[in-house]
Amino acid sequence: MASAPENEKNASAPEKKTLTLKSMINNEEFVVDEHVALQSVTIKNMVDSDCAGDVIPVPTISGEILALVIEYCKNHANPSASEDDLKKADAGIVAKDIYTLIDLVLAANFLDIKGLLEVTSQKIADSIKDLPHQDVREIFGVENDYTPEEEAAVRAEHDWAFEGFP
Amino acid sequence: MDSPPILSLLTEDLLVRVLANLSDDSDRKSFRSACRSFLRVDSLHRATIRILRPEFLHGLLRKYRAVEAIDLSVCPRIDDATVSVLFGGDAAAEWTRRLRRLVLSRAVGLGWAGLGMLVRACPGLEAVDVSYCCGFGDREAAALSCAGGLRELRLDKCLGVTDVGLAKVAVGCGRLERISLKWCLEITDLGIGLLANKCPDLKHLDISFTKVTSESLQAIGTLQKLEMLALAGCGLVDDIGLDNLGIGCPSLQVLDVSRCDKISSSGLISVIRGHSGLRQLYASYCFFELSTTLLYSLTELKNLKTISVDGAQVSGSSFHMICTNCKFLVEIGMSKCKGVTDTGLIQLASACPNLKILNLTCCDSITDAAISAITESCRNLSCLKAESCNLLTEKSLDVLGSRSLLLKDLDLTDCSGANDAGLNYLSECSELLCLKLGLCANISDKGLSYIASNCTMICELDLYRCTGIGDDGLAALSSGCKKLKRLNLSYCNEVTDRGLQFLGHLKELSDLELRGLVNITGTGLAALAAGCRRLSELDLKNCENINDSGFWALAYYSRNLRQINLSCCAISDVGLCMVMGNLTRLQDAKLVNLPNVSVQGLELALRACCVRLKKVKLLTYLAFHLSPEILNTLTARGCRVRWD
Repeated sequence: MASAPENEKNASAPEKKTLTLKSMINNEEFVVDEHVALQSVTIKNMVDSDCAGDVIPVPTISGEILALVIEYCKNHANPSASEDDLKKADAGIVAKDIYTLIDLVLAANFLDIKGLLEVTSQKIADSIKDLPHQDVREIFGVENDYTPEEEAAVRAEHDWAFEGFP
Repeated sequence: MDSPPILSLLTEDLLVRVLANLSDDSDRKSFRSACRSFLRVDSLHRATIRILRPEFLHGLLRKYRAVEAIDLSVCPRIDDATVSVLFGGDAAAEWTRRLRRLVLSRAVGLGWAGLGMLVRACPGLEAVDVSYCCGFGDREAAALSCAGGLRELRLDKCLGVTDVGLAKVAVGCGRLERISLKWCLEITDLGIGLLANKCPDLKHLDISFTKVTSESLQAIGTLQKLEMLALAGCGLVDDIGLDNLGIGCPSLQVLDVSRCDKISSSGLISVIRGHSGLRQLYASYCFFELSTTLLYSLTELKNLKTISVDGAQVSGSSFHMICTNCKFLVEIGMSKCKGVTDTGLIQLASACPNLKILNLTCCDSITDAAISAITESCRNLSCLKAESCNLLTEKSLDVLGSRSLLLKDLDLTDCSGANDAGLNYLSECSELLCLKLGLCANISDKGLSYIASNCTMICELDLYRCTGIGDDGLAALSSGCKKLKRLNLSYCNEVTDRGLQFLGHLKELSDLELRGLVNITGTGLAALAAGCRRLSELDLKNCENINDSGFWALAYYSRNLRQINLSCCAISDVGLCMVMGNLTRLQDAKLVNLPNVSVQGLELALRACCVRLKKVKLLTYLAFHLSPEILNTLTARGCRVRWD
């Protein structure tokens, strides 16, 4: 018993715990250091409550997206990374098309990773900045369900009735 | 209804997250206009709303159920009767209970009864702004004092508020954390003493330009939580007061003693000695020169980020001491300081690499060498004011363009060194938001087109008396700078109707100054009005060649117009009546020297808008020619008539 703390101190010990995350969409598996994976509150809760088996299944997230999520977690688990480095790395991760971004924001939400959720939603917002509403519709793939009268009213309200303020 | 795939995935709370990152109004409009679900998300998320016309208030608040803050300051005049309709009754109760913040700045038509009604209707109020309601006095203050939960109150320029009113507020609102009493000229030490006594939680206190004396500072010194104290222009405060401050206010971080004529260095030193935590110190126009002992005392301020010493004489040794003592400065103000030299600034730049904001207005002996050193060392420079620095050449703009890529705000007013080649260099600063080039006689359309093609974020541009600017420059501007909100083209005499047609493409344009443009006519104004629907302030003084066709168009299209200057315009009786009667947001009009308007015409025009006007400027002789009824109606409803 007395020697246990000494063992822990030894950083090179092969005792480093890992977890395996498995995308249920295409069955891809990822082996990740536990402290990296624990940035996801969802996974942390599973581990804490002993619900996590050898392989943690991750539903509705594809391997491609899961890889991005893990890259983010790895970057942020590195204690020696400077804020600038992290910013750059984050920018690299979210430099994707809108469909990937939407998958990513859903993944961040499901896995409950606050920082990733924030940078991804910021990036989605940036991608519709300065665009007319028709382009917003196209980007999000939503259909115009306004009647012409309703749409005119929504737009008039902006022009004549109100604006935002900080 | 079809359920589009993305909407079935992105839940409302995720869309709210995305929306929270859209700060620009027009971006939010595009978002809302996309589809019903997005409108719903916007409605759920919006917490603040600035109402442009009171008649929309009810409808809007029924939709926007999360609104906690309402700004009514840009509405036309609202009076007690309007308030009772808007905020009274059961229908309103549901949303008035949610309100935390209410901005009623310039709501000059309100009285104590209306305010009282508001306060009763909104039991959750935490912040109220009634600044610039010049007619407000003790009865209004008493009405506000019933809002027991208030934490923030702005009473700036409520000219009638005396110690009695302030006492009511102090007693009624004991949890106040911020109060601003700027220009409350009737307030004395008595009121401030009571305020300090009754409101121990005060963190921010602004008593600039009041008649308080050093006695107030003794009372203020007892405020343990006070972080910000502004005393600008308190001409009766002297060193004894500052000594008292020196031993009080343990939490003080921000102090403004600008324009306090009676204080000396030793007074300020005693404050500094007692407050090593000071972060911002404003001491503009206090001292003839900066004494060595004062500068030496700055050593104690390890957290000092901002210092402003505008108007003081500085010497080489002053720079040396600032450099050795204030290494973490982010902002420095040296406007109109005598003795600012290249050597001094070069030293400063290398000692304070964190500098972001630099005011060098009228430091006219500095050259490109200083700007070069600043841009080299201070890589985060975001604001540079260099008005009237006439020795600067295009080389300064070259280094700014190549090194200061984070520059947002640049003032080069009256710098003869600003020329087209310089603007070409400067256009590399693609983050620029505000650019002032007034009186720069050496820039032309070519230079402006460089800026327009690269600096697409610009929202404010000042080209006052840039006589080299004409229609082609405006063509470039209208296709490049789509976010432009404020533009000054006064006395750019080359501008014609063609130029205004280009401006009509700037959908966001809200403030436009066109003084003295003799080459524009009704055709140009009509095109402008038809295009720029957000236009809210327009200055057409001395635009003599605009005929009524232009003003009719204005009256038809510019429904957002809030302020107008028509002085010396050729508008007719009919034109004026149309403008004043049709534009239902108009609240501030300057109507001096209208050669084609008769007294009857003016009377009629004023009658058409007297319920909305907050301010009007007229020729003095009209005081004897307009009917007493109209003048009484105007003033009785809180409108201020300025006689020229």
